[in-house]
Amino acid sequence: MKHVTIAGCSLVLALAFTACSKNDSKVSQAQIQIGQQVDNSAPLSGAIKGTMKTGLTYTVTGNVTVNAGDTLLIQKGVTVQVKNGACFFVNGTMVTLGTKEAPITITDPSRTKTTGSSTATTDSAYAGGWGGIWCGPTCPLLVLKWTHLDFTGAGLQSIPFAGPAVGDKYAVYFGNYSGKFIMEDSWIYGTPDDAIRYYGGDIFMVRNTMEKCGATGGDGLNAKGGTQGVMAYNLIIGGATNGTKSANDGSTGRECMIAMFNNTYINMGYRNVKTFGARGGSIEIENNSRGLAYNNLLVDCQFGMRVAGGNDVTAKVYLADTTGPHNGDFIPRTAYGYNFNYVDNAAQAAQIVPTNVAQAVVTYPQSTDVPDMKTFLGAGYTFGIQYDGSALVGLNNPQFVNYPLPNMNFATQASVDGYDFHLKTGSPALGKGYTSFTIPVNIPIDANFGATAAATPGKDLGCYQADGSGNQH
Amino acid sequence: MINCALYRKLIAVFTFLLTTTAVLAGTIKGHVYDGLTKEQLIGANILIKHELKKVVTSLDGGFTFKGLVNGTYDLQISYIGYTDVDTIIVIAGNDTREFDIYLFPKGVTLSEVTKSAVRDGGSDQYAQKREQLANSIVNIVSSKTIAISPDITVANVMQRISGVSIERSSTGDGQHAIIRGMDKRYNTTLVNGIKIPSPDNRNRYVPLDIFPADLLDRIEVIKSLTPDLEGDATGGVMNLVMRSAPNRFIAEGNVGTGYSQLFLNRDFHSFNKSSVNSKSPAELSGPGVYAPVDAFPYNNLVTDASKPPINKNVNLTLGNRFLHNKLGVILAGSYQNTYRGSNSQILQQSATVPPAPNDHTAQQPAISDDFYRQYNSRIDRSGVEGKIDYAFNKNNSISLFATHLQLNERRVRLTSDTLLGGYTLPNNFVGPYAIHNKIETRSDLQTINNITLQGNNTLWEGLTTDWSLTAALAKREVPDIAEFSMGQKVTPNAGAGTYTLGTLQTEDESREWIHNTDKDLAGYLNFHYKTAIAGKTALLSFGGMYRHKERDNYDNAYNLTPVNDKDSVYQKYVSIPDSKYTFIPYNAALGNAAQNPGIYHAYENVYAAYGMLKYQLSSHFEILGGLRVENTHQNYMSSLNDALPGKSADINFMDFLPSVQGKYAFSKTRDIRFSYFRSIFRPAFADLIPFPDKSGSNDTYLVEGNPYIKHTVIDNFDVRYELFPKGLDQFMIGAFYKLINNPIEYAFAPYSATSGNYGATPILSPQNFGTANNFGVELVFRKFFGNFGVSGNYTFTNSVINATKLYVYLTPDNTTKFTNVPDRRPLQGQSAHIGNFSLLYKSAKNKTDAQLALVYTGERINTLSQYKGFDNWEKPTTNLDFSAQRQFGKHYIIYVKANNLLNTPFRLIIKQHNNAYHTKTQLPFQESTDYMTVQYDRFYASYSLGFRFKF
Repeated sequence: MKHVTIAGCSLVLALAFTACSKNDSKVSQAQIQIGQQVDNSAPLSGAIKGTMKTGLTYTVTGNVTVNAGDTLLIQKGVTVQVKNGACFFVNGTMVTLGTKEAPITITDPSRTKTTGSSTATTDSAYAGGWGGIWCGPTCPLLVLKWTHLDFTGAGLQSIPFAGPAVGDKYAVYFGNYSGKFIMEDSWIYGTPDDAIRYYGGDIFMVRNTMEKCGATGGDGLNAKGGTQGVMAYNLIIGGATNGTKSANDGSTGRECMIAMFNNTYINMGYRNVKTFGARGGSIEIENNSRGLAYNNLLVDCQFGMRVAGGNDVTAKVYLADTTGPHNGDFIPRTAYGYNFNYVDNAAQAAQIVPTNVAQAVVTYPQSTDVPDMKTFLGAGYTFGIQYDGSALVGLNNPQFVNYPLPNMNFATQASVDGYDFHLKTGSPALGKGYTSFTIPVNIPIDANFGATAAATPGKDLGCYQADGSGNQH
Repeated sequence: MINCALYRKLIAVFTFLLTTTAVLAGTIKGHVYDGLTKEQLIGANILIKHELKKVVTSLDGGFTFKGLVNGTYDLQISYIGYTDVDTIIVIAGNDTREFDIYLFPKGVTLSEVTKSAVRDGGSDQYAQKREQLANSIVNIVSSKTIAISPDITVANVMQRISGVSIERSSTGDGQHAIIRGMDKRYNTTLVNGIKIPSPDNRNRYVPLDIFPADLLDRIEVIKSLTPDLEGDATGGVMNLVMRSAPNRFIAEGNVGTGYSQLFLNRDFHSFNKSSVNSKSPAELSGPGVYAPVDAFPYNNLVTDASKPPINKNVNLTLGNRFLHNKLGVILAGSYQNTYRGSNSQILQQSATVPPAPNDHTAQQPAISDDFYRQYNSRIDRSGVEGKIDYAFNKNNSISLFATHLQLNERRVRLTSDTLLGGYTLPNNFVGPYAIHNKIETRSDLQTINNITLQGNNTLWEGLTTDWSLTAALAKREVPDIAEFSMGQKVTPNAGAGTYTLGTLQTEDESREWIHNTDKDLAGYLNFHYKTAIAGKTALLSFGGMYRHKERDNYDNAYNLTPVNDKDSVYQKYVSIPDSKYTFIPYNAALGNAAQNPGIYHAYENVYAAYGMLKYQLSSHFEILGGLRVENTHQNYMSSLNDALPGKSADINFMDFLPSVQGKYAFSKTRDIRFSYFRSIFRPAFADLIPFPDKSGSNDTYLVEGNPYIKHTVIDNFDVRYELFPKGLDQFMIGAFYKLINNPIEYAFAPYSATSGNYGATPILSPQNFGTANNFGVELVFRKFFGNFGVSGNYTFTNSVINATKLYVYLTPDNTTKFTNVPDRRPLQGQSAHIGNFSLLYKSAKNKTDAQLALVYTGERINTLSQYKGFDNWEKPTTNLDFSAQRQFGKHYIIYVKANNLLNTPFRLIIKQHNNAYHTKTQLPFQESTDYMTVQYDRFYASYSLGFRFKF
């Protein structure tokens, strides 16, 4: 909002000047520079710190490391071409300050984006390109703003700190239990496994677009033991498994708690080959973690939002934490509703409220959801029973600006391409949002070294808001 | 001849015992003994010459002629390899004439009687004699015991020894010994008193099933260390004494065959070994080169099912002495080819489990998968051994011993892996969500080469020295642990109680190469000085040793992803040759050799020096004491990134190991022994190095070392009362106490200690949990009644270790609380009750021997869990084996053996209320509502048949 206001005022002033004279002046905003400018005259590898300057193109040919206590800042408009599957190892601070007009791109230049049908072994998006960003236990802060992370996830060849193993393949690995990780208005395109894996930390994942995440398995934003924060206003399309997930695996301290709201999930969960979709396929709250899930828009996902149960003996995925309220916690109690599901076949319809077939499920059908699954399933519903949802096929078209529905390419359409997932006027998803919940702010609010603004619920379902707020892509 | 007869009479000793007169007929009875060892001879012939009446001595060496009319009897007493004795007995009235006869081995002159080299070290009598005379607490199994017991391998022989139990491999072969319940790692294996390096990646001792029992002269199990022995054997030292040249030409051999009941029930699966690449693509093409998919041929994944051929087992031993008995040469070779297998069911435990609902309810274990596995192993085991000894004169002798042992296992493991779903089938079992079928083939090729030069010298009167120089090279190669996987989704049909199987899909394929080379160089030097202190015999010994040991290890693993069919998200399974793969991500084609902690060089240098005094305080009381100092330097450097802890380690420690032992002899047949000694346990290389090893000791979970573990220091106290009533009869009772500081136990860990990698499936790693106290009582007995004998032993051990375990529960306000709660339990691997019982039959008349052997091992902890109450316990086992043999003529013996007659299962349980037994969430192979069975393996009986010859 602040941005919009400033931009608006500038425009008014500019027009005013134009009106009275022919002078045309654009006063640039001060850019932040930290330390020395990073030299772009030679390929980079090894220790790195300082600032990558606006408009320059840098080439990374070997792993680069931001040492503990150092900072790497990337100014807007920088392109970083990473070769040889090299990684960013961040033991200090890393901040990328792209803007809408001048985003930052970190990519493997040998790869090209493709549109249309995409499968794990035909699309090089899943093959891994550069090695991703690996934040260690001493990384206090990672900020990614308006930054493209394209073609990441080469198998890790050099373990930077205790945690990951050789062969791990993510776009971002965040491993500081008490660190802060802010990612705003950014893009992740193509990963072989999870796009982001968190082991702890306070996180703020807002207004991002994620395409083609996970080759034959893997989630989009996969929060593990001790991670707490927000995943909101994200557009996630064609992920192998879930788009957003909370699971308290590996924690011996605080619990994983994630607020997932106003996200748009398109065509999720069709490349979870090894486990045949047993891990869900949109929103997942499991393994003793707590979550909020409101105002999300799900289209042609293999599974609806799933709160994992867990019977007495089997526990590949065990029960989510549905207890509470625990007043004072980041999320006092697992809660959900106001989620919108559109499906194109009976199999999807039969999993809007997931069945117990893969794992025990404890998702309560909600009357606030679209469709109203509580009414549809009736009073006799018990957790996880199989039901015939074929009557729901094709109902409640969310009316995207440019994405034809029904669309039977859900298993292979994994990128945004030219489509536009904004809601048309008259969409049944408009104005249906629940806005009466609040999320504690656990990250710094700062134009550069924190979240631009705290995230608040949006009244329209999904990531695009009719008032222009929400996802800016 | 006359001289000879005269001489025989001279050395025959008669002891006449008069008894009261009774009926009309007289009786001649007595016992026949070895004149050197004073032990009875079983199967000696006693012939009344003019009547051609013949009897043979029974198990206690006794014989009887009854109903003899008055007169003069000319008796001839003979025994193979011994000089005959003739004697005349006069029977008058109703006399019972009873006497003992001592025979001497052929070729022995009186001057040689004191020379032990010619003793038949393989006899029971010799074994027991050594046991009785030995300084330390020792058990000995002789080759004759081995020969009449139903055992092919040393490990199986071992379990007949007091306090010894056996850990079996997936094929049911005993691989490692647990002495007095002390885990295998607390025991050392010596060959002719020398340590040989183990090629086994996880263990620093040699797997016992590498030794065919026929190569052995005897096995000594030393349970209390003297200062001249290396200090790293707390449970005991197993000294495998290989045969040495006898004083006459021998040719002995064995041809046998056998079959496993398992393969009467099902087929044996095998693969083509010729298509196995011995090295990984990265080794062949150099690091950093992307392997093409065709560098991973499918051929060794194609398996064939059929009835296996019969097992084969041959060995031959030749030996003689030359140059007036100064030079002895013995050569032995053996080859065994066996087909073994097992059927195994496993519930895979999850790394993290849900919290308990409140603080007074136990947490419940969590299970993700149910495995049904079939193991099929072809084992080729061969050994070649040569020993040359030469006596320069009575003061100086040397021997050269060389051995080459090979153990090749080619294994096919078929796994049906059911991913458990979240629903219940109409029969109340948990329904499957997916079924994966996996075919794993692997080769495990181990070789040991060892050469040892040993010498004995008398330097001057009273001062002798013995020394050993040994070099060993051991290798283990595990080329291409290859696993192919296919799977299908399972979807229940709503309301119908049935389910539908989805399309069978080709899944990830894994390939891994592991190999290591171990080198050992060691020197031992001991001096012994015999003198008198205050008029009593004293033997002063001092010496030292140095050993350098090093290992190079390599590991590289690849994961291949199936190419999905056109316009599909998966590849439909057609056949293994038709399956197509790629690498995701692309650099998975490099394997995981980069920064793999499994690529390492490690070495260990041990220096030791000792001094000890053996002193005869009185004719009844002998004491031995001294001090040993051992300095250990361990070092490894792995390929792990130096950004992680544990890339390398340099570990130094010095231990002072006092030892005091005493023996008080009440009489020749009764004594009491006591001992105190301190011992240590050094972590093996693989215990230290943080390498998650697939070829480790566990087939379901990865096993990873821990560089932070401390070495173990143990104080041992023993007391033992022994009774040797007569002949081979024996009775012993003992008690022991061990205080174990920093025992090393393997426990489930949720993630790797160094790499911190979290996984859904736990790994196993060694850890120190505190101090353990073991208190035990031991009982050994052996008694013979004519042709029958019983022998048995029993060990009770009360073992206590107090540590803490994780307990997670929900508080009343529903907060998940992580707590560490006290946990009192026995040491890992420690059974409270271990017992062996054998029934022997030996009829010298029928030339038939038989043995029925029963081994009981009480429950014990197999694997520790980080969670309270989740330790995996091994259920008690009772194994029953039978063997019998019959001699034909002088040179041939036919034998039959049947092992594991009860088809004793190997079962692991978790002692928690079992929701998987009777509720709506049942799981297969559950046995009780009181505990969850997480592993249930069956090995089935095996049978063998063969014949031996001896010239």
